Amino acid sequence: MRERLLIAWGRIASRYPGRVIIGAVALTILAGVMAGKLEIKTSFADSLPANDPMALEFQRILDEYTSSSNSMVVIKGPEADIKAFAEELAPRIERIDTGMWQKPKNPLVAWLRHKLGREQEAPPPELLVKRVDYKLDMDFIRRHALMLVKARDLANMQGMYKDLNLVPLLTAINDNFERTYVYDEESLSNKSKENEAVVFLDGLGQWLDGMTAAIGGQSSKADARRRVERLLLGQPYLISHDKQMLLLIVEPSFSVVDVNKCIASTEIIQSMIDEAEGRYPGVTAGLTGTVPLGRDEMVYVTADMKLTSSVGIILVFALFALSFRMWAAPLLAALNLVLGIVLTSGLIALTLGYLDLGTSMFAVILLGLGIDFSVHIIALYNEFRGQGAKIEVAVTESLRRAGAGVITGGLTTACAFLTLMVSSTRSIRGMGAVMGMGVLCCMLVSIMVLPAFLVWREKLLARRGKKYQRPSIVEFAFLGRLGGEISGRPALYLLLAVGLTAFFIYQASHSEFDYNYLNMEPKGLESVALQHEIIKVFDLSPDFAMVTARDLAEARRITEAAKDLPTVSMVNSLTYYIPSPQEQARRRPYIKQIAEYLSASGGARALRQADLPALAEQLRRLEDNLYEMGQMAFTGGQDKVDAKCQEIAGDPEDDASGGKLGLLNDALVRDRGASARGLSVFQEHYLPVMRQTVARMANPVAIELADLPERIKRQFFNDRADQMLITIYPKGNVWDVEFLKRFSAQLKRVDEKITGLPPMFLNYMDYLKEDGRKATGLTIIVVFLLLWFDFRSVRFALMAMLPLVVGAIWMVGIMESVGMMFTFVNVMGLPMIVGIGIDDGVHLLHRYRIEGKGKIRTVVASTGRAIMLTSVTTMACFGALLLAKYRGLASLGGLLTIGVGACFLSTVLILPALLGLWEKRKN
Amino acid sequence: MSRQSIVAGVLAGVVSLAGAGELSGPEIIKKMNELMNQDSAEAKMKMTIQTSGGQLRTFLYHTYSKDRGAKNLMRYLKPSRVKGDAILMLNNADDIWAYFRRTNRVRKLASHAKKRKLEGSDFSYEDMGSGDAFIEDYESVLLGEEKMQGERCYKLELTKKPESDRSYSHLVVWVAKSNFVALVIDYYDEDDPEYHLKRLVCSEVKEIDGVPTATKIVMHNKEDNTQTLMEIVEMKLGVELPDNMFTERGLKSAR
Repeated sequence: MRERLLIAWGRIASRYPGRVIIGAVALTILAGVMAGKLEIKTSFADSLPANDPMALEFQRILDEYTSSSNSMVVIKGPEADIKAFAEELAPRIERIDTGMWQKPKNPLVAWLRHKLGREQEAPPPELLVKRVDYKLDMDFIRRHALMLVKARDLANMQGMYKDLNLVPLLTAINDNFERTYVYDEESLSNKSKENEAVVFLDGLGQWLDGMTAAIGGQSSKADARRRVERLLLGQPYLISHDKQMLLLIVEPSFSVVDVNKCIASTEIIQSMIDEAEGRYPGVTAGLTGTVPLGRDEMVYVTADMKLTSSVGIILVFALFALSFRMWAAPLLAALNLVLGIVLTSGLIALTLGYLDLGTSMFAVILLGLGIDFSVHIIALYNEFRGQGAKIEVAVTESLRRAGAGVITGGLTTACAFLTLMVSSTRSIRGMGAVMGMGVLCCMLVSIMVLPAFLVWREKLLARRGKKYQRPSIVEFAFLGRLGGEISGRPALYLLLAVGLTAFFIYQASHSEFDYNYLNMEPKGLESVALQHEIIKVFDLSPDFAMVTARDLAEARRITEAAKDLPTVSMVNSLTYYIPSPQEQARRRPYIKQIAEYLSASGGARALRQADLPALAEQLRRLEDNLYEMGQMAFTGGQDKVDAKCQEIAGDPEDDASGGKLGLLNDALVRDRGASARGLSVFQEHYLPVMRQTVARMANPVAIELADLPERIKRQFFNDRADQMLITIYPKGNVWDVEFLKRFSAQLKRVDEKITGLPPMFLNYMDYLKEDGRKATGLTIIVVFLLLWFDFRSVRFALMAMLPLVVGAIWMVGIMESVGMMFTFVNVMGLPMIVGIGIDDGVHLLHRYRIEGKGKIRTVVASTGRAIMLTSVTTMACFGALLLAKYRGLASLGGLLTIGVGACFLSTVLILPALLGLWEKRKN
Repeated sequence: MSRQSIVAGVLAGVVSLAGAGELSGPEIIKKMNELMNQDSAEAKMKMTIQTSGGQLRTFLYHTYSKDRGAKNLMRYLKPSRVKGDAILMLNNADDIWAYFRRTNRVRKLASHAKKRKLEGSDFSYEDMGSGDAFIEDYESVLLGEEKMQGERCYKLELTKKPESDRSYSHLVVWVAKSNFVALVIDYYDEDDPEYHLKRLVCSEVKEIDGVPTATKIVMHNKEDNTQTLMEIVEMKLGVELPDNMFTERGLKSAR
């Protein structure tokens, strides 16, 4: 039946090639029009199942809060310079808009628009940035600082404000120190508490430096004000502990799924950075975060696609030209493929309506897959024409002999893809549907339109009076000899296949999966390098998790639970600005007491030489406290606290290193008179400032939501102001899956609603595993049933599948042997290998059934040549992906190239041997 | 579990193996606990921790234990920076003091420090000084037998008693059938019993004073993805240790 249909179509195509082509072109134009409506979805959330609660929550947050994505400007250099750089850059970044970015235009489209007088008007500029965070809102903090301090800490510190003169102040600091840090090991028990300790030590160090400078006669009111603020309020900037790196967090006004705006904002900010760097010679700055990473990924993938598809096309063209000794063959195959791809696009628009990140490269993949059908038909057509057959005979015979294989091959490949539609993940389901439709379209076009193209070409040549030249057929005679040799000694070659398979099974058992997603990005990418640097310096990864709270009580519960997690570096929450009413009530008496102490405390008293021993005693006590704190940090493995303690109190293992306290003590001893005078001046300068600052901080009035500055509220609330966002920054690299698993597991215990790219990525992997298991099982069953139906023989169906199974084992073994790992991107190639790998065996067996017994040599020589050519062209297409800078694509290219090659080799080794063995037994 | 218990989940002793096959969960734990909590012990140990900056840091210290692990004293020997500093844990780590040799000061640590990490390690103070906690704080059930670390082991589940204030909801313990040494202990979170927090692995069992003793103990922290290695360099069991050694005064005096 199938054979009769193929022959009938062969006759129609050879008699009416023009009508067939016109019909196909008309259909293609229609499909092209429909394809124009295709939507591109780039959100990662679109990859997960539509009903996945985490994806739904993520999408909701994306819709309601733009703070779900960010850019980070990383500024490095001397402290003063990086602060000045940030101060200059931040307001400029806040004003950037779409009008400042010129989208690169396609010159052809621009020329056409110009000619047609339909030049596009530029849309009104849109602001690209909502906010830039790089320092705390100090005004609010100054007014409410003590209400934000825990009651226990207030109880410890209240003594500090009884008398602000140097000796009593230092005595109180020592008392407080011993209560807070030395006696209470919990004070350093987690990351945020360790950071708080470092901030306090930093302020203390600055204060001691101020005393040393004052003894040297260098003291001023402005300097004293700065030191008071550092001691009481800490550092307002997002700056590293060594003060060499500063962060600017840019919150966009768009979400990360808006690719054009990602590119625009990243490029505008980068140009501002480049320009500012010129004015600050000691400063270097760069961009990272979800937005720049998204932009880099898009830019590199687009460039890679252009490069690899161009190289792929050139290689295929060259291979065709070399194999068929004719230029028309690749052109006709390419034309055929274009029709197939456009028809597929139209079908996708009609059925799915969109392409996502994975399916958007379907055309490139179809280039590798769809060309195969043409190869089989053109190879046979040329063979018959070369033998002197007439056009119609050549067309019908090539369709009769290759058509069955092409249809079965196409159907099995399409089924392998279509079974992916049982997947729960939308991206895999989409890929299955798109690739399945694509393969079917290319197969149908090859069967129905390609013969018409071949005939039309010959008629065109004849009309121009050109004499038909018989194509010089490249025989690949060695294939025939190889087929004869293998089928002649089947046991030997089957043993060889078993040996190779055993070796590759052993190799495959060592194969590993690279769980680090950042390893998929191009090498040397600044945004990735900076991300690693931020993790190292700030113990903070820019890829955060998110959760929303309906009220402050829920936000407090989540915040408190999250910040104690060992995998969490920082929690950004509104609740830091507004403690619970009960907690505020507990704090109020201490704040009032501090205010009373402050009003009762006297003014600055001149420091006499006689007071210096008492001062020295407090400095010695402070040194002891810092030494003990440093020792506990050293044995506790808290490097930053230890380093700060050493900075102030000196290196315990080096007697010559006295730190800031050593310098101060030296200055005190050197000139007692100057010390007393200088420190008296210092007291006069700082005391009124300190009193005024603490008086403002000691505000006992309860903080209400309405008191919060709009800027802070906007950072956390959604547009309806009925829910607030809490962002949780991990302290490790979330693209290291082992860390990600711990981070996600710990977050789940905090709140079930937690979402964000890191936990979603983990979910996605779980879905992928489940889908992979389901789809593989189903694919094997469906392909087997299809082959059984096609061959009407279980034996032949199993024989056709065997090279695929063996080829897949060889592929994994070879990957391990050449040091390749499985990655998140290249595992997507596994279903393709099932679809592609099955074809070689199907074609070989079909031809064998047509040629009959004793014709193994002929089958391997003829069909073997075609499957070698299809394998080589497919390998060339996929191999071109190895040139991609985006390492994920390169890993996909590597897997597919090895996989296609392995399936071809296993087919030509195993099938002739099996057929030879079978024939021998029958004989 | 006392330091010496970890040291020798270590400390397996002269145990009659007769009728071992019919032992119940509580009986196995009792035998294991008897071995783990020797009356007194003295050891030189090496501990390697991972710092917050990702570096490995190794400490050598002397440790003394009395009253079946209820009293513990550890005094640092290396590196030179901490030589002479010491930690004293009394009442099964309910009371903890730190001594700093250079300042010659003793500091009492907060009582809740017991659930915190010991000196940056993956052991908590509670892990190090828990005396008869296996019996007093947990109900034990024998789950079956299983091979672990190449040894036939009893597998037991220890569930926290409602009145206990221990930090773990339950433990799963693998006890070697041959000598009742605890070879592996899994610790599960107090609030989320499904959450596997840590795993203790004891290996390199050697005879010390006639007692088979695991000389290499590793605590794997699943939450932080860190691990702490403890190795016994020297050990003596049944040593005479004066009571005044386990006092604030004793803490200050080098032994």
